[in-house]
Formats: sequence, structure tokens, C-alpha cells
Amino acid sequence: MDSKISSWNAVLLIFNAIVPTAFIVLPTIIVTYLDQDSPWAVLFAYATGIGMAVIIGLIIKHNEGAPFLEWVSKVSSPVVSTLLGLVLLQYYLDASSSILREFVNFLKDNVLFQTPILVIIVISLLIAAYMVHQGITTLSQVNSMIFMLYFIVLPIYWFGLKNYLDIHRLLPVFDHSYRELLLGSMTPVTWYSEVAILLFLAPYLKNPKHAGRIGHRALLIITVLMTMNLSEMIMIFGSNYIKATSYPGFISLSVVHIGNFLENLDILFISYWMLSIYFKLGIFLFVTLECFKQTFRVKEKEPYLIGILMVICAECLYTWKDPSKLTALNAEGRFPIMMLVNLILPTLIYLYSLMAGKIKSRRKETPS
Amino acid sequence: MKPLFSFSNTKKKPKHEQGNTSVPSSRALTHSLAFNLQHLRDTIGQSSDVIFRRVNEPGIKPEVALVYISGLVNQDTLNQDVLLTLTKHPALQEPDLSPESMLAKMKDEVLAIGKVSECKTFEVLHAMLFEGHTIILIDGTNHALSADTAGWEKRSISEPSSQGVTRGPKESFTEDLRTGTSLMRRRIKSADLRIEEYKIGQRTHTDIALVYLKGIASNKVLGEIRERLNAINTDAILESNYIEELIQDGSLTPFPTIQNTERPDALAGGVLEGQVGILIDGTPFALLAPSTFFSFFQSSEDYYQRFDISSFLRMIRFTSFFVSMMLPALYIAITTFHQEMLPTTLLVSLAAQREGVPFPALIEALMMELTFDVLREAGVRMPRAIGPAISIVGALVLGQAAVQAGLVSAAMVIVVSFTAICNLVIPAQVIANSIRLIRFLMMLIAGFLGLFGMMSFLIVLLIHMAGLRSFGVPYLSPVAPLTFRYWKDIFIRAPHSMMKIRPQIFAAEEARRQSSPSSKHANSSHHKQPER
Repeated sequence: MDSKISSWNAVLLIFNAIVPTAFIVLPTIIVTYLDQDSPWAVLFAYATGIGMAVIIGLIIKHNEGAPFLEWVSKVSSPVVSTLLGLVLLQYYLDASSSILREFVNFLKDNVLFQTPILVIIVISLLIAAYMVHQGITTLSQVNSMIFMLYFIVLPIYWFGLKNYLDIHRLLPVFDHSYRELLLGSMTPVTWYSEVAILLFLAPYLKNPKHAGRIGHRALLIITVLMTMNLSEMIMIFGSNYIKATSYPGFISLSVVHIGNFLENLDILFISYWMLSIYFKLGIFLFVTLECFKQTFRVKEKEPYLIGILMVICAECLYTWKDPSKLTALNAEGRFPIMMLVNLILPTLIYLYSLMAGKIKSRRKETPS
Repeated sequence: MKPLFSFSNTKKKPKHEQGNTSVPSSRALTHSLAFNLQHLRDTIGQSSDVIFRRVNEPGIKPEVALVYISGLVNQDTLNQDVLLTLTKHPALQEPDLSPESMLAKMKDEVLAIGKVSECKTFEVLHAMLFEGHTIILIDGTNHALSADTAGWEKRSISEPSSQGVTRGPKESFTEDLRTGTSLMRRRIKSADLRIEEYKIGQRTHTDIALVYLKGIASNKVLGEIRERLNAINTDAILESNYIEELIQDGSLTPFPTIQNTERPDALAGGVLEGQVGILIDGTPFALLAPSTFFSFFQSSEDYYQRFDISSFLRMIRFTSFFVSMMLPALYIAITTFHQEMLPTTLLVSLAAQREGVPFPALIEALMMELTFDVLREAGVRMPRAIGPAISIVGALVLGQAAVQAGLVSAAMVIVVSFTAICNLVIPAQVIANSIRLIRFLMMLIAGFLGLFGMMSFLIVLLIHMAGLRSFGVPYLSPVAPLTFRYWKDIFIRAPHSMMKIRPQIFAAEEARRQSSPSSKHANSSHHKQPER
């Protein structure tokens, strides 16, 4: 029995760690800045994402797939490692709770109007905990199974919308300045930076040295999907309508119908989206737990799972109670935090390790 | 990762607790025939079927006694090959024959029976006696002979009762283990077919045979099965389910991880794929391990008819599986929470039907499902003569009356009936029963949380199944972990000519089933009859 994650499963883990919330959050934010030029923002984000995937890949190659914070402790000091661990832990707790809150808000607004929020949160967290308990390999395998449903869902979606597409809504092209393109691309770049979870998944990868390739492939699939999705949304509704709605993705789904016999399919897509967001939550919970384990150097991480779940539950209930606060965070607050945590800090540590290695080898070469 | 609940049966036991044939203290036979017979009488008790017979022929010295159990021995064999030869054989008429030489002569010359062995202790003697052997005790020696005269009434080979096919072999296993092993030998005429026997159950001493193909079955799996069988510490094995429950990977799951079959061809097919068969004396149902989830959707007939129709039927089975598991829950979720999903005309029709029904959809569905399960259980127990009458009363009269009385809607009757029919499409009864349980859970969840609940439950089920193992083999393989090249016999059944490689899911290696076309000619000689 193979207990490591294959490269393909890892690609799909990264895919599902980004797409479910990107699908509901990004369109409105990007279209606010770029209107019909929005798909370019996704492509620009992809170009940046390649760079991020390469850096993450280089770090994992350099540390040979070792647990990230253990490696940091080796190349710098245990204090630096613990401090970095605390920052990352705070970030992942925050990320997990905001993912959960986005899910809960959506369900509350569209599916379960009467059900108390606490019930939804507790059920979702218990399921995510069960996923984590079964192990990241099992999670990644089922995640790949769920991904395969895209081959059924997407053709229905695209085929079902064909009568509503107006390509003129994508014109004129390049009607926005570079400044607007940069602003519009910031949020997708932020989402793409989640590829950094590979740093914590690396010890479980079958081929950690292919981490860069894994990250790149995941971002490529996401880009293709997001570009097509965003273009379709603009072609159906036009950019002004998308700006005014909270969940344009799901509104476009409600339009889907095939002939006169298959209509009102939005609940089908919503069900599928629910499946995929459980995986996103599971992946982030796993990474949070892994970060906790490495930060506090505990051997068994399972006993701490309940504590972490309670923190996420509390944060989800109280910190993100106000949906506008969450929207503001998505639009403006995430970029600096996620860039710092996912890119800048790991890169700095990597550069430091390279420099320290060079100095060490020079000292060895120079006779005392 | 450690399992949340560990109910493994593979826990290593101390040596003194191992083994399954422990009986009261083993005592050696004595030189006195009278003492030995008395001891046997004392230990076995006054059982009317245990026959003690002294052979008091004038020429035979020392004295000889036979002990056997009436009903377990073949009376003809006993009379012709034991009693008659003992009394008439000239070798035993020699004067001054010592007890030891008499024992040796009986064993090597006199008894016209294939399997004759010596016993030195009462423990072995008891075991042989209950196997149907005839025990021959001789005065003056502390050894006894055990002659295999076993032969009892047994059912002849008949058609399988639960796994019938329209095309294919019509034989099924019987309760007799030896018939089972012979049926396997007749199908796989290979020197690599191995049959290992075990005796499990401190009181029942049930014979169990492990059947596998050397070189095809994985040694790791074999080792695991042997270890788990050896670890069984129970007093009785009466049916294969005892073994199944005692050796399966985890007991806290609704999903079976070991297949059962009464078809010798199905067992042979599994063994040829690298699975290990377990035949149990006393039941026609043999076990096949390891088994994946998808094994339960394969039927013997899939391989006896064209691949296209087999593939179509297999897809029908998978669809039926989902329908059987989810249809009532989906109906509850849609009618209770997501009415907007339905086209307007259908919604109006459903609303009109449900208008007079006094129960919520969940209660209505639960009532109907429970009624159906009651009828089904009654159908199994009731005498055959009144079966059809009860079916008509139950299914038609009750259903029609319930709708007319306004207790349930006609749509619900359709949903429940279709669900029940879909459940019967699944070839393995054991997984069909699992779905029955899961269906009730899913209905309850759908009644409280709608589609959100159903999706959440589905995720838990998927994760649970992906985490299951059958003797180390992932339960959802080759879908999770994903191995596309083994998909030729999962959701469809590819033509035999395309399935040249034996998947490594169960087997030790990806051995070839068929030669490549280039080596066809060279290989053809392989199939020729050996020269006589």
C-alpha cells in the first residue's frame, strides 16, 4: 500500500485548495476593476503564479521535502522557526475560519435559510476533522475522485449556457490601464499564492522534487477554468450586473438549462461545489494541524485537533460575523498578508539558507 | 494514521492462547484395552451413536476393539474394509502375534483403506473419532489405529440459490468441504493451486480450507490471512460469516470487505485474479478476500456474455446502487427544502398529491421504507405456499389502500418501489443490505438538512470508504488510488482480448493472462494435450 501522495493527486489538492472559494469570491472583485478585461487579470495572475510555484518548488527541492519548519530551524534557529510557525499558524487558523465562513454565508443565503449557523459550522468542522483523521493520502485520493465529476459538470454548464453567450460583452479589449490591471490582478494573485501549502504537504509527496511542477500544473488548470468561467459570466450578464451581485457564479448556473427537460440545475452545481469546498476546508485544516505540529514540535497531532477546531469555530462565529468585513478582507486585506506568509517569508528563509550555505562552504575552502 | 476505533482481530495472542484445537489435557493411551475403552466411555459419555465393538473371533489374539460414531462412518466401508478384513484376513490368524506386530500388520497389510494412521493420545483419538474415522484398539499396546471410514449423508451439488445465471455453470458449493475443494480442482487443473487446511473452533473443530494460486496470490495478503485465521479464538464456527467477521479489517463499517459466493466458478475466477478463497465445512458459502468495493458489482455472468451487454448491465448496477441509496433521500430533500429544483408542472403535480397527506415527507418515506422491509423480511420467513398471496396483499393491496386513504402519496409509493427494485439489481446481497442501512441514515439527514446534509453524508461515506482496507488492499482501488490501466473491468467489462494483464490490485504482480499476438503461435503448443 502506498501512503504517499502521487503528483497528480497533489496537483488536484492544490486545485481544490484554491478553486472553490475563488469561484465565488474572485469574479465580483476582478470585474470591479477591469470590467470586460477581467479574464486578463486571471492570465496575469497565472504569470505571477508560475513565479511563485517555481520559488516554492525550489525551496522544497532544496530541503528535499523535509517538514518546512524543521528545515527552517536547521538553517536558521529554533527561535526563528517557532516565531515563523506562530505567524503561519495564525494565518492558517484565520484562513480556515474565513473559508468556513464563506461556505456558511453562502449556505445561509442560498440553501439553508432556517438552519442555525452553529449547526452548519459544527457539521462542516466535524466532517473536515474526519477527513484529516483519515489522513492526507485518503483525502487526496477522494479529492481526485470528486475532481473527475468536473468532466460531467462542466460540459453541462458550458453546453447549457450556449444560447446566452454574447461575445460583444467582452469588447473592447484592453480598455483598462496597467494600473487597473495590476489592481484587478492582486486578488487572484493572492489566491494563487495558496500554492505555498505545498511547503507543508512536501513530506507527504511521493516526488517532492517535482513540487514546482505540481504547483505550476495546478495553477494552469485553475487559470483555464477561471478564464473560461469569468469570460462566460461576462458574456451572459455583462460586467455591471456581476459587480452588483454577491454570487455571480451561481447566478450563471441558475440560467443553465438543456432543452425543456433539464432546468433549474443550480442546485446540482451547488451540491458539487459543496463537495469541493469540504475538501478545501479539509486541506486547510490538515495544513493548520501540520503547522501546529511543526511549530510546537509535538509528535502526535491528533489530540490537538479538537482545540484547533474550537478556535476555528469561535473565529468563524465571531470574527467574521459581519459579511462585509469578510468581503473587505478578500478585496484589500488578503494581498499583503498572503504575500508575506506564502511568498516573502519562505523566500527570505530560502535566500538566507543559500547565503549561509555559501558562507559555510567558503569558510571550509579558506584555510584557517 | 491510527484508526479512530481499533477493533482489529489480528492482535497477537500469547502462544499458550493460540491454536484452535485446545481440548482437555492430552492423555496417553495405556496398554490395557479395558482401561482405554473405559476412559473413552467416560469422556464421551453415554452417547447412543458412539459404537464400541469388540472383535472376539476365536483365532484373533490379542483382543481387538473398534470404536466409531454411527452416522459419521460409511457403513459399507466399515463392514467390508474393516470388520470383514479384521475377522477373515489370514495375516491376523497367525499364532503368537504380538500386539505391536498385529498393529503393524493391520496398518500395512490388512486394512484396505487409503488413510490409516496411528494415535497415541486420547486427544488425537477423539479428534479422529469425530471426523468419522474408525478407531481400532488392540490389547497390550498403547497405540491405536485410526482408519478413515468417514462417510455421511450430504446434499448433492445443485444450482446456486442466490447467484443464479442464465448462461454459465449451474453448480454450487455444498456444505461438504471436500466437495468444495474438488469443485475447485476441477476448474483449476494447475499444480500451483494450493489448498491449506485449518481447524478452527474449540468445540466445533470446523475444517477450513484456504485456496489460492501460488505465484499469483500475494504473499503479503496470504500471510495476513493466515495470521488472522490463527488468531481466531472461538469455540464455534457454524457458517462462513463467523470467519468473515472475525478476520475482516474493521468491524465499524457498513461495507463488507470480504465477498461471499456459493459459485465455484466465481471462486475460481477470484483465485485466478489473485484473491484467496476460504472454504468452510458446513456451509455452501465460500469467502473471497481481499475484496474491493467494485468486486461486489461484478457477476460471474459478466464474463459469460458479450462484453457490450455486460458493460451495459454493469453501468445499470452502479446507477441502481446510487438510486437505491439516494432516491428516497433526494425526494425528501427536494420536497422539503428545494422545491425550486423541480419543473413547475412536476411541482404542481407533486403538491396536489401531497395535499391530503398528513405526514411530512420524511415520516411518509420512513413509514413506506419500513413497511417494505417488514414485507421483505416476512417474505423470507413465510412458507412458500402462501408467499405470493402475502406479496399481493402487501405490495398491491396495502400500497393502493394507503394511497387511497391519503396516508401516503402515489409518488412516494413509486419512489419506494423503484428504490426496492434497484436494490435487487445489485448482484451481491451483502452490499445491497449495507445500502438498506445507509438509505435510512441518508433519509434522516435529508429530512433535517436537505441537500447540504446529503452531500455532507456522501463526503463522509466516500472518505470512510477510501480509508477502508481489505487485507491491506485499498477498498476503492483502482479508483482511489487512481490506476486507470486497471479500469478495464470496473465500470465496464472490456473484451477478453483487451484484458491481457492481470491487475495488481490483488495479485502479486501484473502477470499476463494472455500472450501477446506475436507469441500466439509459440504459445499454441502449450495448450495441446500431453502425449500419452
